[in-house]
Parts: sequence; structure tokens; C-alpha cells
Amino acid sequence: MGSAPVSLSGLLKPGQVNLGLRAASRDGILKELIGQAPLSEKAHQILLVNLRQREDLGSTDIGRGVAIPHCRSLMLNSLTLIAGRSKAGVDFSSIDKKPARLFFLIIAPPHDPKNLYLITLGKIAQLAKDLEPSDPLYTVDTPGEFIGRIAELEKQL
Amino acid sequence: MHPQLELLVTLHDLELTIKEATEDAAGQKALGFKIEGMEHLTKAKVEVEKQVDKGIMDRYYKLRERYGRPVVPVINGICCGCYIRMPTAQSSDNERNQRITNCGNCGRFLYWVSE
Repeated sequence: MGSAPVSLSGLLKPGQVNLGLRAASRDGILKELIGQAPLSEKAHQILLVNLRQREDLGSTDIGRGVAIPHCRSLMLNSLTLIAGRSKAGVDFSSIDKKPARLFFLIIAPPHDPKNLYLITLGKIAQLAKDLEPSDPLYTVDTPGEFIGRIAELEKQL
Repeated sequence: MHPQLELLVTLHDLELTIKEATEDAAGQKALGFKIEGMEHLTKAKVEVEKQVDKGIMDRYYKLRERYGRPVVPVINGICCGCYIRMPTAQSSDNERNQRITNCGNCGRFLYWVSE
């Protein structure tokens, strides 16, 4: 694995944070998350197929209410991180049987010489591992506050 | 997008998922992800392959054997397989993903990423 520094708060843009996910199903959540990416409708369709196939391989819900759907795709030319939050939570076939409420979608192009994809995946998984149920990520009101909290958590890693 | 190009892109992405899950299963599991349904992906791959025209599929297999990645993006007018610049007329054509195109130099299938 490479050693390129990855800033999650730097990757996240306010337009890529949806704190009001409404879908009640896994596929609905994936569709909503992909919708935050500024791509064509066709690209959204192809990405949805790709992400569903990755979930069929095994759930990307790592427990504690956090899911990290991810895939590589030709549809993008740079790594994209999208975050979302569902108030009610959605069944993502998690290890601990708890509904997922926080989502971090990572999509990376196949050509990734700095290995940013795996580094980003690892960093989010690490961040999620120590996340308390009372963490402000579950309650903040704006994308800016959400990104700010991610920045705080990153400093603690 | 040309329906056959869409299938090639889908197949390419699917093969990438299978490859990474196979080669880095331990790493993915260490992060907390489940890797248990490989048969679903293998089945999906076969289904996609069945829909691709035989001539295109044969070329895909040959390119995969030669280069590993038979479909590559074109970014800023450059083939990301061999890094040769595409002819300007080809790169500026808005309908460029509406047909199957191969790189004039390396032969890989090309997909123009939105820029």
C-alpha cells in the first residue's frame, strides 16, 4: 500500500454530503448516494449496477451503523467520496444486525497509481471503528458541520 | 452510450471487483467487509458476456490477455492505456461514446470520461 496522505475532509465537498437520505432499502440508498455525483444518468445507472454487485459479494456495512459502499469504475477519472445519513437507518446486512445510518460511498477509477482507493477505504474504516453512537456526525445539521467533524476525527487517528 | 460499449464497461468494472476481492480478500476482511458471494459475481459476469457480440467479445479477451485491462478511459484526449493522444476530431465528437472505438495505437476499447 502506498503512503500518499489522504484527507477525508478534503475529499468531501458540501454538495457530496446528503444528511437527509430518505430511501428505506439498500438499493435506494445506493441510488441516492450516487445521485450526489455530478455524472450523466447513464453513468449513474452503470455505477448502481457495479455497487449492487459489490454488495452481492458481501455487505460493506462494517457495523456500528456505518456502511462504506465502494467500487472502482471507468465512469470516473478521479476518486470521489460521498457521505450520507439516514435518520431511520437501513438494513445493509451488517455484522451486528444494526441498521446503517451513516454511509460513505467511495468510487475510484481503475487507474490509481497512488493507491488512494485502498488508503481512503482504510481510513474511513478506522474512523468508523471508534465512532460513538452519540457522535455529532449523527446530529449535525449542515454538510459543512459534518465535514468539520470529519476533520476533527481525522486528527485523532 | 452504445449498448455494447455499456456492456464492455460493466464487464470491465465487474472483473475488477472480482480481481480485487480475490487478490485482497484478507485486506478487505480486515477492514470489516464481507467477502462471501463470489458465485453471484461469477454468474453476473457470464450473463454480461452472453450479451456481447461474439466478435467484440473475442477482441476483448485478446486485449485482456495482452494488456490486462481491455477497456480504458480517454482523459483530456489521451488514451489511458498507451498514452497516445487521440485525433482532435475524434476527441471533440459529442457522440464518441455512441459507437465502439478502439485506440488506433494499442487497440484497446475506448470510453470517453465526462470532463
